[in-house]
Amino acid sequence: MPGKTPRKAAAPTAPAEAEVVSECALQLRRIGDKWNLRQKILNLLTKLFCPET
Amino acid sequence: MPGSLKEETALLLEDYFQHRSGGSALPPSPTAATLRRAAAELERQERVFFRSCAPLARAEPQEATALLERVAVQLEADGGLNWGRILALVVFAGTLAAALDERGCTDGPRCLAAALAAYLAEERGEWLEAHGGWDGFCRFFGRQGSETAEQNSTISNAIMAAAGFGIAGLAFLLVVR
Repeated sequence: MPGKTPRKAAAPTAPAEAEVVSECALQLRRIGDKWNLRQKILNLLTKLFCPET
Repeated sequence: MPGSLKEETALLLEDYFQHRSGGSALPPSPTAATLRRAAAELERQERVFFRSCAPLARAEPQEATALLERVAVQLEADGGLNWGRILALVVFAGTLAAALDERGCTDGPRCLAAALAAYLAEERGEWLEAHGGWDGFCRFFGRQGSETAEQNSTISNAIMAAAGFGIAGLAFLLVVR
């Protein structure tokens, strides 16, 4: 049945892509939050110890 | 004005993408310099992840643009936006742009910059405006916090050393008494 093959092959593509998007977003969220917190702490330390800058 | 924010965002992103792809031009503004510096630092620290993202950029810029838009929407779905997430998203877009450029798709970086600028300035323009726009980004990742990693590390080390000496001095005084 030649008509069935492409549908079967195409079906897993969308979930796989959705998984890639989801994983990328998760990692970027983790990295972004870590970087945001790190920068907040650095800004706070700088304000405390070097208030003139 | 959303129009000018979008324009400013697109220019900043295009400059960063060009710089990321090896462009040697000087940054056109202090904001562009801050974005280049903060993004380079983040990319260096998370190199493994961003390298693994490069193959996601297919030959067609439309596919990479669609991927970027979907990732951007999911990124903020949990917990909203913050400057760290925006920076991570910009570095991700830069990775896709550099990969497209390497594959000969010279239009790719411009398409990605336009798509991300539209998303940030139009769909998330309120958040950006409420946090001071790109000036707010500059203040957050600016000179007090976003020097190079080495300088940050130097400041942190100096602070830790001072705190350590203080604690050691107090302990010494307590023991001597």
